[in-house]
Amino acid sequence: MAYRQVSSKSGGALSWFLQRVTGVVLLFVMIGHYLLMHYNIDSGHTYSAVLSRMQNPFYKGLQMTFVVVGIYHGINGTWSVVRDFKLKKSVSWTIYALLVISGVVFGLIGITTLMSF
Amino acid sequence: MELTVRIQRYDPEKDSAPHFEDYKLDNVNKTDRILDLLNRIKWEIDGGLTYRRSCTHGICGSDAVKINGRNRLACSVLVQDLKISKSRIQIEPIPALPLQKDLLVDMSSFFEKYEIVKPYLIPKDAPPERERYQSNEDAELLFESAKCIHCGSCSTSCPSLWVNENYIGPAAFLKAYRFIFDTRDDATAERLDLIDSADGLWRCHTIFNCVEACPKEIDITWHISQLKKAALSREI
Amino acid sequence: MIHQYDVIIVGAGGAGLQAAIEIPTESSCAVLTKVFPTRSHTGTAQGGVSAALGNEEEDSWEWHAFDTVKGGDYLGDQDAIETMCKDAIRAIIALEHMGMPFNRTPEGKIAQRMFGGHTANFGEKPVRRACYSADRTGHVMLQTLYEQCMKNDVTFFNEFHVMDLIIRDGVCRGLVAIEIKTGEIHIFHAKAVMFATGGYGRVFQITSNAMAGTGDGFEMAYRNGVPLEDMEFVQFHPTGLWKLGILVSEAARGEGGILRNKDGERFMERYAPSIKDLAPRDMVSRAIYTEIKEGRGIEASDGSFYVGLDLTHLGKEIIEEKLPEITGFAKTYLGVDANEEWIPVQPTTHYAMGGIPTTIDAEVIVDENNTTMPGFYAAGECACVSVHGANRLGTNSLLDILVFGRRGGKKITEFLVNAELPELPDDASEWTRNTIKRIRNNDNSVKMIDVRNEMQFTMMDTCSVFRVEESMKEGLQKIKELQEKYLLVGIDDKSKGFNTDLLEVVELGSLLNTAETIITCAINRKESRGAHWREDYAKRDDTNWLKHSLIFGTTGSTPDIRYKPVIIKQFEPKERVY
Repeated sequence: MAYRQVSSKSGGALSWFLQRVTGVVLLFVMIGHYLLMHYNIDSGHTYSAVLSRMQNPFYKGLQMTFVVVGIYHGINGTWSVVRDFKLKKSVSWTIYALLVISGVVFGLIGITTLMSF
Repeated sequence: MELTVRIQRYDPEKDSAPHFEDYKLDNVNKTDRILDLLNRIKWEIDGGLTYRRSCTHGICGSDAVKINGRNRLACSVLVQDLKISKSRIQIEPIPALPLQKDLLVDMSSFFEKYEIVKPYLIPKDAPPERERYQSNEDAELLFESAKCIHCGSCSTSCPSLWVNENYIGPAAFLKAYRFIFDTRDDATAERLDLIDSADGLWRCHTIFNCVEACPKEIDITWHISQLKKAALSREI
Repeated sequence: MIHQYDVIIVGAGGAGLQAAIEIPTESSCAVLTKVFPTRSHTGTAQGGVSAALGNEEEDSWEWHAFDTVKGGDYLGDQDAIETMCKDAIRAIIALEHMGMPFNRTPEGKIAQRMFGGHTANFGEKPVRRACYSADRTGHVMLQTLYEQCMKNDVTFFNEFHVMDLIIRDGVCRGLVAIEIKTGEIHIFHAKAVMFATGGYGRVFQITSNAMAGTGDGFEMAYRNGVPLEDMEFVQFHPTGLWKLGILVSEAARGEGGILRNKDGERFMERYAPSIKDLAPRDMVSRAIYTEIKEGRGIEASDGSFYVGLDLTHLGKEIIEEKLPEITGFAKTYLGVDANEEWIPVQPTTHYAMGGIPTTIDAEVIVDENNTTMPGFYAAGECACVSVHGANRLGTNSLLDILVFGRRGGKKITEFLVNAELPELPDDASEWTRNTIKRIRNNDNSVKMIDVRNEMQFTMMDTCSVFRVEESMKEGLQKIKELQEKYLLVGIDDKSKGFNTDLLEVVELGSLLNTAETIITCAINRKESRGAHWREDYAKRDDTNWLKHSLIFGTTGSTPDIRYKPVIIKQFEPKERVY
C-alpha cells in the first residue's frame, strides 16, 4: 500500500475547529432568526418595517455574519465530506475550486443584497 | 443444541469469488466459544477451513472475524452471547482488507499504519541510571490504550476506512496516543505531524463503530478526541 | 528459495525479540515466526516480572536467587540463577527505559507486588518483588519489545513455519521453513540460528498455552540429535479457569486472593503454613488435586471437580485496577462475577522447565560435558539453562526471556566476528519435502484430531501432577502407537497457500515426539522433585537424583538418557518446606 504522507499544513485542525465554532454560532443565530421571523409579530413583517430594520447597522452586521458563517460552514462541511473519499487529485481540485467559487459567489450575492438596503 | 454455522469460504486457488457454506453442528453448548465451533468444523468436517487463532482467550488478537455482522473475536464470544435467529450464525472475514483465504485477510496495510506513527518511545534525554519516575495517574492514562491487541476490529469497522484505504485509522491513532500522552516521550510534535494530516485525525467523524467493535472495550473515540485536542492546541 | 543471513531467530516472543534487539545493525538478522509477532504467547503472561528492585520494601538479588533455587527444588544451576537474579534489576530498568508502562508506587517508582514463592530474607515472609502492569504484564512487555524492533528496523518473516534445522557434522547451518501464505519452502542459510520457539503446552489436554504452543523447537532440535534436558518437569499452574485451562494469574493470590475447598476452608494453610496461598505452583497444584481426591473439591454440574479462588474480599477497586483481565475472563467464559463469587479453578499445564540445554549465554549444549554446538542458540521456554530447576517460580519466565534472550543476542554478536557461512548441504530440505509429500499423499482415513485428542488425553491421564510408573508406561506405549498411527494421518485441504490443515498435522508430529521425551524422562526419574511428583517414589532423593537428565535419540530408536551434574554454589540442598 502506498501510504501518502502529508505535512501538517494540510492537516485540518483549524478547519475542524472552525466547523465546530461556526456550528455552535449557527445553532444560536438560526434559533434567534427563526423565532424572530416566525413568532415575533410585533417586529412587523411589512415592507417598511423590514426596510427600517435592515438599515439598522447592528442588524446589518448580524446578517452579514450570518451569511459568512453559514457559507463557511456549508462549504467547509461539504469539503470535509469530499476529503473522506480517496479521489484523484484532479477531481478533488475541481471540486475544491467549484466549492470555493460557489462560496465566493453566494457570499457576494448575500452581501450585495444586504448592502442594497 | 443444534446450530448451523454459515461461513464465508474462499480459496483463491479454486474459487473465482467468495461464497457461503452452511455447516450443521449438533451438541453445541451455549457456553461454547465461536472459535470452538470453527475448530470443530475444521477438525471434524472440513480441514480446509482456514482462520487465524492462537491464545484462545482474547489476548493475542488473531481471530477477529465478523460474527452476525459485527467485528468480534471468535474466542471471546460465546454462543449464548449472540442473538440467534433460525438457529444460524454467520461468520465472515473482517471487511475492508484484501481477502486471502476463507476468514483470512491480509493485514499488512493495517500494520504499516501502525508503523507510521513511530510506535516506540522517543525520549529527548539519555535515561537515568534507575527507572524514570512517573506518577501512577500518568501511567494509568496509558493503560487503556496499551490494552490494544491489534486485532483490527476497530479500523475495519470504520466507514472512513471503507471509503479511503489510506485513512490511518483508530488502531494506529490509539498507538500514537499511547506515546503522545506518555510523560516519558518527547516526540509529540513529530507524531502529531504524522496524524494531523489529510488521511489522519480529521477523517474521524466520531461514528463510534470502533468503540463498539473493540473486544478489549477501549474507548477509542475518546482517545482520538484527546489527539484532536492536542493537534488543535498547537494551531491556536 | 534460499536466503542468506548472519543470524536467524526463530520465534518472536519475548526471548526472540529481545535477542533481535541486541544484534547490531551491521549484521543481517531476520526473525521468523509462525504467528504475527504481537500474537506470540509471551503476551498472555499476566502477573508480573520479578526483580529485586526493593521499590516497595527491602529486597536483594540473593534472596531472589535463593527463592528461585528453593522453588526449583534445588535442581536449578545456581550459577545461571545468580546471573539471572543479578541481571534482573538491569533488565527491568532497561524495559522501563524502552517505554514499558508499569504500575507505579506513590513516589513514581515501578510498583511491585507479591507472588508465589518469592520471599524476604531466605524464606521468612512473602516479599513484593513482581513488577507489573495490571494483569497484562506480558502483553505490554511483548508490545514494548516489538516496538523496539520497529525502531531498530528488524527484519521479520511473519507467518513462516519452521520445519527443520540444518545441522551437519555438529554445525548448525540454517533452517528450512514453509511460507504459510504460499506454501513454498524457503531455506535460510545462516551463520547462527537462535531458537526462541516457546513451549509445548498443547501436548496436554488442559493447558493455558496458546494453540501455537506445539513444541516445534524442542522436537526439531531433538530430531536433529540435540539432547533435551529435564523434560520430565512440566509445570501445572494451579489456577487455570475450570475446564478451559485459561490462566488466572498468581497475581490474584499475590493481591490477597484465597483458594477454598467446598467447605470454604483456606486449605493451603495445611500445606504451606508460612506462605499459604503463595506457595510455589507445584505444591499448590498438588494440594488442589489432593483436596479433590479426598472429597473436598467442589462438584460441577457435569460431575467434574474444582476449587474456588476467592477474591470477594478484595473489593471492587483492587479487582478493577489490578486484576481486570482475569476477572474479565471469569465473566466472559464462566459467567462468574469475581466480586461476588469464587472463580472455579483447576490446575492447567503451563510451562516447560526442561528444554534444549544451553549455557548461560544461550549456546546450545549437545552432551553431558557441556560441549556447545557452533551456530546454534536457544532461549526462553524452549531452552533449559537451567534456572527453573524442577519448578519455575511465577514471574521468572518473563525474566528468563529478557535476561537470556539478551545474553544470547550478545553472544551471537561475538560469534559473528569470526564466523563464516558454513557450507549448505544439497539435501537440506529433504526431510521437509518428504514430510509434506507424505501428509499430502496419505488418504484421510486417520484423522489428525483423533490422534491428537488421544495423545492429549493420555498425557493428562498418565503424566500430569501425580505420576506412577505403571500408568506412565502404559502412556508411553500409547504414545508410541500414536506415533505409528500419525504416519498415516492425511488432510482434506490440498491447496498450497495458507494450508493450515497441513501445518496442524506437522505440529502434531512435534507434539507426539515431545510427549515421548516427557513421559520417557518421567518414567526414568525415580524420585519426587518439584513438579515431577511420583506417587511410587514420594521423596526427593538427592543422593541419586540431584542431577539433570539429558534425553538423546532420534525418532524411532530407543532414547538414551544421560546425566549432567547440578551446579551448586551458595545454597546447599535442604528440605523444601514453606
